[in-house]
Order: sequence, then structure tokens, then C-alpha cells
Amino acid sequence: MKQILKVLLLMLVTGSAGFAFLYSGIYPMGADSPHTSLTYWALETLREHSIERASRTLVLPDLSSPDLILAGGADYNEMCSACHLEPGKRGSDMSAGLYPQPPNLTIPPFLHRVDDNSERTSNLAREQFWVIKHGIKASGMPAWGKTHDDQRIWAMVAFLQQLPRLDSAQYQILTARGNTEEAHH
Amino acid sequence: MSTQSFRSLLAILLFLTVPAMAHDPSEHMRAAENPDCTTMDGSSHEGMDSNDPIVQAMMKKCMSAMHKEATSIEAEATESPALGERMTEEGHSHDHPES
Ligand code: HEC
Repeated sequence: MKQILKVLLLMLVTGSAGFAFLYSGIYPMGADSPHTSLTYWALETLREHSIERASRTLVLPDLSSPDLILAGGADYNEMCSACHLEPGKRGSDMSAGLYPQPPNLTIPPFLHRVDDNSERTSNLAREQFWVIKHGIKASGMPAWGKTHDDQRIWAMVAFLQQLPRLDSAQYQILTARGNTEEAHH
Repeated sequence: MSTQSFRSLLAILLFLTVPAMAHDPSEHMRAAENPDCTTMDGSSHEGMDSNDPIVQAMMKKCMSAMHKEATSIEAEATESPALGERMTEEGHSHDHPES
């Protein structure tokens, strides 16, 4: 009986301490003060597992299609490069100032180059699709699915598969909207 | 229906289509830049692998850029017909952006 009382008391104390903390205003909210490593670990674990689970069943289209890559390239350049950079750019106001920091998508996601059919690459593509469509809570990453259909999002995913291999001249060609847009109408 | 009211109805309908077009890729045309395909001639072609999706995509882009060179001037000069064309094509242009 005493044991139970002790436990209840402890819960009450920690609970009110938690509330006191929330209302005290001492938590540093600024994007320029990084998380403690424990908070960082907790948030990252939460995000990774959530996205992995949510994207598991997505069916990949053929991501090596030149049409898809070209459609995605122009969109990426206009909507994403300010945060996720482009070949030859090492930083931007957005990439430096946001927290969590937008990952530099011109860098290969894995240290070892994996062949295109590997399970890991496909899973990454699925996760990228999910993240682009739904965004990430409490980060600068918007949910593009509210204003763009799945086809446009897969196109960006297709482009992202090639982006780490592009130099800035190739990037320019693949992303320039130019006047080629209406060619196929 | 009088011409007057038909015109205002048309104006309203046109206005209503604006949000639908808001995310047509061509909306982003303000940033339109032409692909700089000269860099492709410069680089040695022997290193190019025609199975590489990057190479295929670049070829495709530069081919259609050359094709469009001539017609683009007319297209730019007559802006309003181009806009109307985009509206009518809105529905299916999303489903298969390149076909
Ligand atoms: C305003 C800045 C901003 C813009 C614009 C933006 N993103 Fe992001 N993006 C972020 C941030 C910040 C993260 C990281 C969120 C996190 O780690 O919790 C992110 C994460 C991602 C990820 C997950 C990467 C990984 O390895 O975890 C992908 C993929 C991505 N963005 C793609 C895109 C694409 C494609 C676009 C354009 C349609 C885009 N983003 C536009 C800020 C942005």
C-alpha cells in the first residue's frame, strides 16, 4: 500500500514539474539553439520510424524515365533548391537558418553507391515521396501534396535520384524550364 | 442573354479558373531559363553512356530546345491565346506531363 502511495506521489511531482516547465517559459524556442542530444535522438527516432512505416506500401513508378526526370528537375529548381541546394552551392539563407536544417540533397544519401535496384534505394525513394507529399511537422519542410498531384511528386523523386551525380552544367540543362514546356501539347 | 451579361459571366468564369491553374508548371515561367546545351557539345561524348538516365534526359531536353527555338518567338508574342490554350488543357496535362 505504502509502495503504491509513493509511486503516485512521484507521478504527481514529475507531472506538476512538467507543467511548471511548460508554463515557465524557460524553454529556448529559437531555431538557433540546438536540441540536446537526447531530444534530438528522440525526435529523429520518431521521424525515421514514422516515415518508414507510412511509406512502406507505396508502389514505385519507373524513376529512370527521362520525361519524369525532366519534369521533376524544373520543379525542384524552382520550389526546392532554396532550401535543399544545387550543385556548386554550399549554403543559402534557408539552409543555414532553418532548424532542423534542410538536408543538402545534392550529396549522395549513402556513402557507398548502391545499384539502382537495391532495396535500400527503393525504400529511400518511397520515403522521399512521402516526405514531399506530406511534409514534416514542426520543420520547414512543407506538404507539397496539398497543391501538387502524385505524378508531379514522383517526378521530383525521380530527379532526386540523379541529383547527387549532376555537375552544375548538367543541372542547368535538366532544370531549365526554357521554352520546351509546350513542345508536346 | 445579352452580350453584356454574357461577357460578365465569361469574366467571372475566367476568374474562377485562376486558382485551378495556379500550379500549372507554366506558372513558374517567370524563372524560365533556356537550357545551356552548348556545354554538352564541349564535353567529350566518348565518356557518355547512352543508358544513363542523365544522358538520356539531357539529350531529350536539348533536342526539344532546338526544335522549339523557332516557334517560341511566336508563342511569346501572342500571350493571351497561349493562356486560353493552357486553360483548356489543364485537366489532362497533369496526368501525363510528357506525352
Ligand atoms: C523552406 C525550406 C524547404 C523547402 C522549400 C523544401 N524543403 Fe524539403 N526539407 C526541409 C527541411 C527543414 C527538411 C528536414 C526536416 C527534418 O529533418 O525534420 C526537409 C526534408 C526533406 C526531405 C527528406 C530528406 C531526408 O533525407 O530526410 C526530402 C526528400 C525533401 N525535403 C524534399 C523536398 C523537395 C522535393 C522540395 C521541393 C518540392 C522541398 N523539400 C522543399 C525544408 C524545405
